[in-house]
Amino acid sequence: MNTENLERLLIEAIQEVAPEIKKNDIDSDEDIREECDLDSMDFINYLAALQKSTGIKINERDYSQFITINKAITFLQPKDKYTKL
Amino acid sequence: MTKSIDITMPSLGSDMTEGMLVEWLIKVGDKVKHGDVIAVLETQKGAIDMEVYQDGTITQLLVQPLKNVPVGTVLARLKESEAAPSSLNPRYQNPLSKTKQHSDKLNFDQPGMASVEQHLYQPQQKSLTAVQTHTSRHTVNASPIARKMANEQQLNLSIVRGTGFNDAVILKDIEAFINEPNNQGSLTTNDDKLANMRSAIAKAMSQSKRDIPHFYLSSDITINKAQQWLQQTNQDKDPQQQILLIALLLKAIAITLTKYPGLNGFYHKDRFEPVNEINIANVISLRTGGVVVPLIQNVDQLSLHQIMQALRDMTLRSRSLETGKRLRSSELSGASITITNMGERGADRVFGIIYPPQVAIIGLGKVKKVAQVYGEKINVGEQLTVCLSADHRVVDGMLAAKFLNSLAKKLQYPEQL
Repeated sequence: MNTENLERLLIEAIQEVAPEIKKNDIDSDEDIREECDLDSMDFINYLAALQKSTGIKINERDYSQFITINKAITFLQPKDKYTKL
Repeated sequence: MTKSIDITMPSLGSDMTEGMLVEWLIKVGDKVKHGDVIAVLETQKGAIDMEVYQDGTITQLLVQPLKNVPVGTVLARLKESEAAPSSLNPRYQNPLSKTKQHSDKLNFDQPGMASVEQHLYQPQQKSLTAVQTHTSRHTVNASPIARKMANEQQLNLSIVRGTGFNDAVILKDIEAFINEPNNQGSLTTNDDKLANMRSAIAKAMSQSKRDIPHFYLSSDITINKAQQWLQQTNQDKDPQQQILLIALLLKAIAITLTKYPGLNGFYHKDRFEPVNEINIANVISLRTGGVVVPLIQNVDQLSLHQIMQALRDMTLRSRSLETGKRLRSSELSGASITITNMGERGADRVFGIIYPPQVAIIGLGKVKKVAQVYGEKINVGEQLTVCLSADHRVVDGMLAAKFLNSLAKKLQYPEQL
């Protein structure tokens, strides 16, 4: 999947827990928990939504890879070839 | 013999005086079961799915959508099924069903008192003029985009004149309706909702501070073991299986409350009524402002995974109201105690205001790394401050202090929770 599509899935997963957030509200290099005012419950709901939409398994040890949009894209892209998206 | 049951505008808190019927999801003749969602209400707490507490057949719909009516107004009637309450699914039992015997002594406008149920067990009330209506979402012909737009604008399609094929409501009808100055009253803006919620919070909290002699205690609780246990348990788990500290805290509080029933119940008419079930409301702050306080029933009997699932689901629905996910009426009435967690927002501790008619609220602060002294040694460990605000008409400081102490001990054995 290209960067654009991955970014779209990431934004959609954030919007699952915070529907009022728009793409332009988020700086891709900043911590989304701060940017989107997500608490820990929102954050795992965001990861659960992301796991569902990408089909890529997200382990607890990898959570820190998802705190910014750009980090998440870097982390997800190499794994993507194994999925059927 | 089957009896006719009134379905009324429920009271979802001492602060709620009226609500708006937004949409019927059933029509006359429909069979309904205990726990079915039959209507959408707009209340000061936002849009709520209204459940029915009886099995039966809907015989009358008495109030048209988009009408504001006082709490207790009969909205519809149903004819009770022959096989009555014993067949109810326990999952949908009203949280107060076990305390029903008290309900006729209790005031209507108390949040713990599920007025829907109360009405069901009371003689028929004076009814409103019967207005048959078939304006459910199933009967209004509209284009998908018109439906989406109406949903965004919180607008009921049945009051918009359709000009499309077969009189279907199309996008331009919605736009025309919204732009018509006379129709502004039918639209609820986010600012209105926020103002409503603000006024509901103001009313409940003013009443509480006026009537309840609060006292406050706090305890710094060491959570090294709880954190270690969580780390081990969550290792290599995916997001759906994660357990957060809040779930552990809720379970520990619930189990401790079973030993301190004086903190779990309602104060009404100069006396305290303990509640057998531990129904804990959890304050959820909304990003758009305001709070909602949905409850989890029988927390002491749930596993950590069940508590976690309930919390995740409630948080998602509370904070995603715009997407059509809603809380249910049974989740907003009947809580026997409340928990407010301000630690995630960076506060060291929070001394909450009790939500009447409850008699206690527990405040959770942020987890901090601190120096802990063990004998002659100093270790770095983690702690959080738990605060208890309690009603001095019901409990004394001694009992409150014992409760906090007992809770601290529970949290030293996370594997037993």
